[in-house]
Amino acid sequence: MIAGVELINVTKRFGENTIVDSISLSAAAGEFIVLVGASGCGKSTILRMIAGLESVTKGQIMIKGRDVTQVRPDERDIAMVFQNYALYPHMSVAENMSFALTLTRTPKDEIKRRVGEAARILGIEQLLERKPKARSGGQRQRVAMGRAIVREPSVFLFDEPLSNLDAKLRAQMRVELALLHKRLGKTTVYVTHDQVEAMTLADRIVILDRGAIQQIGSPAEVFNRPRNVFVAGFIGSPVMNMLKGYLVAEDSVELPDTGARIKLSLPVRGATGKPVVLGIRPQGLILNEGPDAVLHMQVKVAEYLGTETVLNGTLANSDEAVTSSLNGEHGGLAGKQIGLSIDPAHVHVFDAGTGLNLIH
Amino acid sequence: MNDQRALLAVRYVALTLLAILCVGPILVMTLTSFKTQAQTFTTGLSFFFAPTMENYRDVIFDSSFGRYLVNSLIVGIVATLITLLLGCMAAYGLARFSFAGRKTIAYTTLMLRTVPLAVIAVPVFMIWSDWRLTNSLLGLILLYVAVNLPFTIWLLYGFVLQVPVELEEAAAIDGCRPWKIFLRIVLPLIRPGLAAAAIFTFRIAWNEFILALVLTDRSTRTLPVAASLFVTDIGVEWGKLMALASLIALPPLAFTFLAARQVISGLTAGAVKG
Ligand SMILES: Nc1ncnc2c1ncn2[C@@H]1O[C@H](COP(=O)(O)OP(=O)(O)O)[C@@H](O)[C@H]1O
Ligand SMILES: [Mg+2]
Repeated sequence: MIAGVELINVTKRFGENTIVDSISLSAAAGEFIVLVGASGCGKSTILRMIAGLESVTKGQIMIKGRDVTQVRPDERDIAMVFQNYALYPHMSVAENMSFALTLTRTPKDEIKRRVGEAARILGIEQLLERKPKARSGGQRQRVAMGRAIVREPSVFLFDEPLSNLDAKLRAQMRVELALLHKRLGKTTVYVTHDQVEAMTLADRIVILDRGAIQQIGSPAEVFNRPRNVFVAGFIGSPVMNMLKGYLVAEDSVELPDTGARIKLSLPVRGATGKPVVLGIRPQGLILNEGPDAVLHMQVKVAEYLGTETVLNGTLANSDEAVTSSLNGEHGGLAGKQIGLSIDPAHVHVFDAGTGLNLIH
Repeated sequence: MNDQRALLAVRYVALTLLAILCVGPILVMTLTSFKTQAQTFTTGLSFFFAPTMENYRDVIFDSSFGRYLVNSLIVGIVATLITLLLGCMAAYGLARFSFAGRKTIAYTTLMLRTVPLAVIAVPVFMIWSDWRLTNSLLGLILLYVAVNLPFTIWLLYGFVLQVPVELEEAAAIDGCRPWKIFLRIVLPLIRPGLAAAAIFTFRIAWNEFILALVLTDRSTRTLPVAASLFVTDIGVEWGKLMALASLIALPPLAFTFLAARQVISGLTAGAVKG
């Protein structure tokens, strides 16, 4: 089967700086791929290379099996939605949406049909004759999406399209985006620094750090089986606890400060005594006031969020920070010392040197 | 409260004085243009005199007036068009393409504008003579383009910088080649800048006197030079001089009025914010 978008060993350098380092990636036709990573890690650069707005230093970009590395943006069969929308201020909403079609001399009634259809899908029919600049953020976002839809491209590219919206609208547009993708079924490459957008929208997530791919996988894969410390720390909220320790058996880790021994659900590769990083999701630290508590935590702040309470503090007799996320209301625990037991399903072990996950 | 009122009063007085300073000469010019030579000296600044259209009649029906008017219009309009054409392209190049010395050029163009025209009159005359550009409208047009281009580039450079690059990228994806991006996206968005630049350029090309006097002859004279002919060895024909001066002032006034609306509507609309 022909991939919707394929990157083969793509490298991008600005002068001496390697911004994107030989990445390879293949999005199946119709797949929704999300590139996620911290600001400055090269997400936009990758997207812009796919769009043809940035030249490729080395490597190849294929769209629907065609090598487009040297092809002009308008001939790549893509449409892009920009972070700041990039709507033409001197054109009406309808003109914005039909601009590409008028340039290719599409018949008037065809343009009208497509613009009308897109406007109907997005609920912006009443805006068509208006100028975009006076519209609200959400409406301009819709117009920008409409402009992309009208061209009926085989690939949609989004660069942090929701980051200028307030939290509520962002959640709403996220759902609309998911519905839109379901409806159109087009290959989509979506860039964001927001892991919630990545987890909710993606068929597969590509996690980037410093211009290199850290892991590619479904939301469940990257959450449950993070390939390394970076992915584990990036995906999941609150952030995974990372505690220094060493192997005492192939299925047991000891924490030096507290002397606690943590039993693992699966054996790991590595010799006894090997220094490791023990990753425990906050959801895996469970309140246990009994004598069999594995860890003890000095709670500093308890944040009640409605369905859960996030406890921030340190391990007792240590200054290693830990976070626990408990179901229900536990605001009263602030300032107290509590016992915790560990859910093995939420435990990961990473090589202290390479950062690689040793369990999976 | 009282302090504020006093401050307000001072401001109004200052503004009124300034307004009088600006309007005064224009008023004297207009009044004088409706007086006979004798009235000019007997009535002073008074409004009470029997106005005459004699000066206007003499000026307008002079056999050469039409030619000078056409000369002025050609020089003013063509110089403005060429300046805008070169200016917007140069500004775009400076703002968007990277090449050695770009920043330096962008920030030093304006300095050329500080050179007074009188200073360059002699060298320009010599060079223009060499190139056989004296006594031709082309020579004047070239000169005014050269004089106005730095300011125009500097002004439009600022406007181009305000156009988000993403708009041009969106247009590239939509199917515009570079020239089309420039024409369909950039130019419409810097329209207020073009209008402002047009006002400045046209005004200077239309009003400029010293170099026009040096570089033109009987057939290529512009209106300001023609006006100076009323200052003769045997005296100044004040009435005609002022009548012609009043007429000269009208086109820039109308042009500024029209173009300023473009500037203002563009600026208030937040021209380039998508
Ligand atoms: N045109 C450019 N010239 C030089 N460096 C650039 C250019 N564009 C981006 N960069 C650099 O590349 C890095 C990645 O940028 P970008 O892809 O925009 O990151 P992201 O979208 O992940 O935040 C940044 O450090 C940025 O400074
Ligand atoms: Mg970015």
